[in-house]
Amino acid sequence: MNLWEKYYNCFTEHADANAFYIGGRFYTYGEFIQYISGSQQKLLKHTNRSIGIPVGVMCHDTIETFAAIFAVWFSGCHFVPLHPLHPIPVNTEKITQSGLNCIIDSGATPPDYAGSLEIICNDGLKSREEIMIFAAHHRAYILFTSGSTGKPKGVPISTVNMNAFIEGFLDIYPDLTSEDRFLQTYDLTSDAAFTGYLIPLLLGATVYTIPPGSFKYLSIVKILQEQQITWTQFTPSVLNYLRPYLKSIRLLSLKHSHFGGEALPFDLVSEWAKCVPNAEISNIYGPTETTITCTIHRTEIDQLQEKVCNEIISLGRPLKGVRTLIIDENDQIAGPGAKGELCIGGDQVMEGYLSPSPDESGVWFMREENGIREKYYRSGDLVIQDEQGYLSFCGRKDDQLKISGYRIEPAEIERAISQVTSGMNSKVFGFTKTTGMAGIVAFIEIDKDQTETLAEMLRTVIPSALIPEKIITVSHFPINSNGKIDKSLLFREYSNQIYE
Amino acid sequence: MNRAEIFDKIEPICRKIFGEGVEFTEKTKATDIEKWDSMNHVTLIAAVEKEFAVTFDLMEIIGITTLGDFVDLIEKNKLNADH
Repeated sequence: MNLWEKYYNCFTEHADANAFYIGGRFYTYGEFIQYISGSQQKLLKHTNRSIGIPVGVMCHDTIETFAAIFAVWFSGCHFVPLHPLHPIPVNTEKITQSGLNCIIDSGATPPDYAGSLEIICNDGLKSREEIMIFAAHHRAYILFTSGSTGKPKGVPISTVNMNAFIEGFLDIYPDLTSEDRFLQTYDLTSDAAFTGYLIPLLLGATVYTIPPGSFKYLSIVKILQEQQITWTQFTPSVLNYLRPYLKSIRLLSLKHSHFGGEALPFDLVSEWAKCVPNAEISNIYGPTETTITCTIHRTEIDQLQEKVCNEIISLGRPLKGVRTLIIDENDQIAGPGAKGELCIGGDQVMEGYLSPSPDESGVWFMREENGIREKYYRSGDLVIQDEQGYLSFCGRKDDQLKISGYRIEPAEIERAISQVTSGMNSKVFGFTKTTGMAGIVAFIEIDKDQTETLAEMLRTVIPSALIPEKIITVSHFPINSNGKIDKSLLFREYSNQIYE
Repeated sequence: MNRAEIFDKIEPICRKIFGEGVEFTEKTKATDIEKWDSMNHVTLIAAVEKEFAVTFDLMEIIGITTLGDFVDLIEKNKLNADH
């Protein structure tokens, strides 16, 4: 039985149970099947029943969006999530790189993309036609991550990768059941979102989503409380946002509180633990290239402090299909307790980027063990491993930033700044805010009065997560003895403006 | 302090956070203002709390959808303080 047949069987088995709670109403698995069928009928006319075709899904968080995703999968195709609020140039880049010629969109007014794109509008589309399950094509979806060349990089994930993640995840959480209520809090274009619907929909459980247009972080608390949610995952940034109100939050139903997308500070999660006395805390880690999540630290609240390094909660241990190696700066395996780059192998690692670079030695290496050659992905994340195999995060090997769950390459922001300012020089860095959370600062050789409109101009070319919180004008960049821009001097000279 | 007087003190705070070029009335909804997101919502709450020397609880904050809701909350808080 392939993965899609497993899902379809679960949907039919739980036809009368609630699959989703979206926009204040429940949808049963039976209704969900009808929505999938509605989208599939239209999609099959487009694909002519060919498999392996990429299909864009404009992700609105509606029942039709989830139906579109499964219609694509059940039809033997793979989906490319697109964000309706992202600037048109960002979506156009993804459409071009993935070779899309069809997008399923449940929005009232689908954007006008150039070219021969077919837009399938599935708003309210339902059908009682029996769903067809095609042989699973090897590719399941393509996500885009920020690229160091300044352009987003396409990461294709296969059904083998996805299946390995699901098996590995359920191996760690065998206690999750159809009775659980899962709150999915991430944008559907982010890989962290997959856990919040792939797992519950395979168990026959209910997926809850955040209503659109609301204050998202506050809505999370409201839904956790009102709907007696038992499982949720969000970024430590959400927790930091809620910090002033934690004393008035008490969620007795929550059993699984997961965090991912950023380093999880011990003091922050300790405060949260008092709000969720019946929950276990899990810290989740995984680059997009290694399929959603590749290491997990699951712990009881009273054991939280046992795996803390530099005030940060451990990344845990690899899922069962994942192999990890820690490599030192000479590309040798780091000894016990030594810091090195985390490299990831196993069934969850993608085959390769959508548009491979000529030299990917910085991304992969091959290693032979017991006569089997295996590909390892270099994560760029520096870690230390303890005697029990628990990994602790120690920072990045390069300039890449991880903010609110988004992986951000400074070069992509610098390219956008250059684009909207007709070639002005800029340098983008991450910085630690006084709250302890990560932020983005851009230094630009530009007149001060132009910085006021810069953020607005950037919004037209890059997603809002990439907009720097601080934009600081510099007359010229200080250069260090190596001929490089002197980051420490910049931070010293402008510390008042950065940390104001 | 009547509703109009309360609103007169809220309006400059909004102008500072959300910028000029937007008309602010009691009926202005969060969805009417692009910059009124989760992050600016807490900035606005903190500034209003400071201006009127009040503290809202979490459930009150979650219920805010318009600028008029702030006026309601301040009237309610002032009323509770008077009793």
